[in-house]
Amino acid sequence: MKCIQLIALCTVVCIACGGQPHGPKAPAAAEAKLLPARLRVLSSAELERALSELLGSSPPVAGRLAKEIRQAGYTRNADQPWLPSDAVRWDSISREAVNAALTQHFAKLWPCPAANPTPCRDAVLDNWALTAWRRPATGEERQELQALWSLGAAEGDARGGAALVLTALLQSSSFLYQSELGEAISATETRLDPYETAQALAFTLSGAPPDASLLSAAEAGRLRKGDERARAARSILGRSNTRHHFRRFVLEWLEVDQLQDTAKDAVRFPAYDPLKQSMLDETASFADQVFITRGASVDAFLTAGFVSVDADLARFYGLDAMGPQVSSAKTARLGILQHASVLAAHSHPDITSPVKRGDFVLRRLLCKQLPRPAELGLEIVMPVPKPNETTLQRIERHSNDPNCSYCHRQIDPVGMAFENFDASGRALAANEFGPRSPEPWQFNGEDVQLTDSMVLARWLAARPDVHSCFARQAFRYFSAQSDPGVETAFLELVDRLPESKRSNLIEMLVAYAASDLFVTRRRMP
Amino acid sequence: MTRTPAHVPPNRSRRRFLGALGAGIAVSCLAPELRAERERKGAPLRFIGAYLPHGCAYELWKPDADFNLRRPDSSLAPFDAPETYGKSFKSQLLVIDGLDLAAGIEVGTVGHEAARVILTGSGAQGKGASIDQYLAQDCLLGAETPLTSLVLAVGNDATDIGSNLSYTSLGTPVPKWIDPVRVYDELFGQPLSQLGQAELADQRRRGRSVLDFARRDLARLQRRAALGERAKLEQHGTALRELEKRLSPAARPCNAPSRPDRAQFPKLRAFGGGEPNFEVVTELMTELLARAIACDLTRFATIMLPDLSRTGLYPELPADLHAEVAHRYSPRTEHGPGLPQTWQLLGLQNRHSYGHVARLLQHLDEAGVLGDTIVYATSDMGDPSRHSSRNVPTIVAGGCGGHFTLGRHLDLRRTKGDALFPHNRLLVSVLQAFGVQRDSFGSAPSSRTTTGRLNELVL
Repeated sequence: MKCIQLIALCTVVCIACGGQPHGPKAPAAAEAKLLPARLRVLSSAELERALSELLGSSPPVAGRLAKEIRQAGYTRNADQPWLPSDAVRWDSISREAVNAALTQHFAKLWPCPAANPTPCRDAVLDNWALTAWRRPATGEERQELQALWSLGAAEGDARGGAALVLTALLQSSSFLYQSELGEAISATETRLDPYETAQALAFTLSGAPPDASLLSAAEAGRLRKGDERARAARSILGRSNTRHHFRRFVLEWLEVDQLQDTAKDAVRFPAYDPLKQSMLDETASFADQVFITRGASVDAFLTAGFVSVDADLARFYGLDAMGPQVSSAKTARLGILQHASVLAAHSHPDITSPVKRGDFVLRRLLCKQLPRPAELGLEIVMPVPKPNETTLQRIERHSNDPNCSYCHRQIDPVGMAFENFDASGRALAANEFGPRSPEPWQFNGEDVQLTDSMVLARWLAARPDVHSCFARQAFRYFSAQSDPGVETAFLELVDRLPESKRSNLIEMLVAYAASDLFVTRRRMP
Repeated sequence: MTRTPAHVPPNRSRRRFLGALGAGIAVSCLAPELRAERERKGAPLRFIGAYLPHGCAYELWKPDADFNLRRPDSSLAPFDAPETYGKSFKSQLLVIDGLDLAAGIEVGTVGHEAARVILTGSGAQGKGASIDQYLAQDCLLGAETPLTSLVLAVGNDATDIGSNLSYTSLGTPVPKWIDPVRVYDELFGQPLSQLGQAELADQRRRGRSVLDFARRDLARLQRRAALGERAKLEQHGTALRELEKRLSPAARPCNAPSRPDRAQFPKLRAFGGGEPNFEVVTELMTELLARAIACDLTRFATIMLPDLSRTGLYPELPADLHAEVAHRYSPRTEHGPGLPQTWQLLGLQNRHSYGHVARLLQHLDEAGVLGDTIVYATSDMGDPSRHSSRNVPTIVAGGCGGHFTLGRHLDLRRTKGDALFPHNRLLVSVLQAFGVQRDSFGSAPSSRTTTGRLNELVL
């Protein structure tokens, strides 16, 4: 089967222009509703924080380890292996970190007296192991650490001993992996032990290892009950140092986190390159504001009437004011969908892309995955654009092709709603963009008149399936895994919340932390 | 680039080394007689896989009937240009016309995603290794060198399936090096080799203690983990072995190039302002790669070459090669004559890419290792305007250890008609050249796609 792709809008992500679509995979009846008992390699950001927790400081890790392999678009990925190249790079980073820490604050790290240091040494080593591994060392491990220290500290060189032990801890798999193996509670299930629970709470909710108070709670057995975990979760979520974790979720959910790796036609969009960081900062800052003041609800993400702009972006948006919450009433922007970062990330370098923008909304807000042309055996021929052709005219050629029309009737009108923004995210005057189709968009049997993207944003914010999709997307990020069965279990958990809390990410995560789903794992063969 | 002596970190004796790695089991993937022959000859075979962007302008790529590559607009002209590349490599070149990335086509992994298919012979959901990693890691042929393998790219260190050639046995991409300085330091600048003997011995002792500790910790975790997680932890074990190799530097006579000067390429990434530096970075990468092979620092490597977008190298090319050249290529078909001006633009990109491959061959030849190297260069597409992964432009170059009949154009299109001709057969043939006992590679719905070698490689 061949399809003539009649718009010059497809690049990497081509949307199917034919055949029968298939929506999100429905979970099979026998699908597991628990996460598997697993080991997860810490992400670069988590490694940096874990280093800092142990040593008091950390060199930057994110740019030095290889980029994470993504699952469902998210960098938190439980299937990520630790590869030889990771080990080589980590070896260099961790040695550098240990050397720097021992040089900068050796006395703080090693408070033991020179005379009769052994009792103090053992206590310090125990504490290091607890911090690095997020659990106490076993007797065997303690002996090994003490032997390592003795080897490194030959001839009384405490610094050498400390360096060897810290290096070994940082190379150990107990440091590099978050364990969610659990202890068997039945033939098919395991349950996280108290320290694994502490790790799960900390890494899931803050992207960082557990601090001393959480480890103490684990030791005291105060994380076994749901309400205890809910309290711990609220405490973690209330800290300002968890915000980075939510910012990253929002940036990855919106697929803008790699905006720095994009380029625009420098002649048409000279302002774009210097503005990329401001655009990213806006989305991150907006996420903070929604998290702090709106409970991270999807309604607020979609319809909050403010922008978070620095001076440069304010000028780009045509605003006089700058700050974290500047009213967007005088602009064509509402919520997060009209952020310049989002509009630019889902455009081509030279022109807008209703296909990319529409596809983005369907995939990330409605969780509707349409097949790509290749999956339908379609070959795409890119036409040469005609200079005087409007975007609508290019787009409408889809509807003339029976192979293309089924999917593109769903995609294109959504993308066309954003046509009052150019490929760099700048708002266009009415005479700068072409017409939209007067035909209503049909979605699941409903006629929707998408006069612009603010209408779309309000329509999305009111839909239960968008709220459910948001919960699904969040779960993929925070749980580091995409599994339809477990996602369904999470959505059922969310559905049991009072209606006022169902769209609130903080409440969802607290409920998750308190649930059996959070601490129970599927035993794997 | 001037040559300066460098200390290079090679390995202990092979037997001791393989013994330490438990190599006995994995090496069994080699046929015993071939392994014996390989050891007797002492001339190990090497493999380099190269990715070239944007398919090809077939009209300019296909060699003439007499295998003439010197036609002025021939994309393959660099292989017969002694005035530029020191000698002609025509006699060490096999141009294969008509291979399809069938394992990808069968499951919809085509076009920009088909880089995944090239060396794995599998689509997006495949879980197998690429042949470079299979040979280096799974068959332990990379255990004999300080670096098990070398995975390079220019301008793009992304981890999506369209940006990677090398994959582990878990099916995940192997991270790529894109910074020539980092590659140089990795290959030639190991700090341990700068130390005095006593200090070096002490460092090794401490390093081994750390690794022993890490290994015991890993073993404890493996005992608790389920089968699926153990595969992940086995990869971790491989990672520890890679670290162990680095503890064994010893003097080895080898000329290293001088350390690249970062001022030559202040930016490295595509879309991040790196494009104007891609030419110099590519030249450095091909030279470093050739030196790594020549110094026997590794025997398995891959490299992803960039396109000419925003490099400013050719005034006649638009800034965006992807949208404005690849998408607009209009081939000659049974339905029409096509647009020759579009062939010329794409042909320029192709010829430039092959120039880098020819330069790599030149470096390998000058180092005396070309004869035992298989260079396999291809693209994710044939006709880029269709995003089609049929008829991908394929070349095999280097001496290939005498395993293939070179210096010719192998035209598979004549016989295949509309059927797919799976490139997996080439992968199987490469594996067999290394002595691997298997007659299939990769995964696809049809076992016929993954099974069988490319008999036509040998006349």
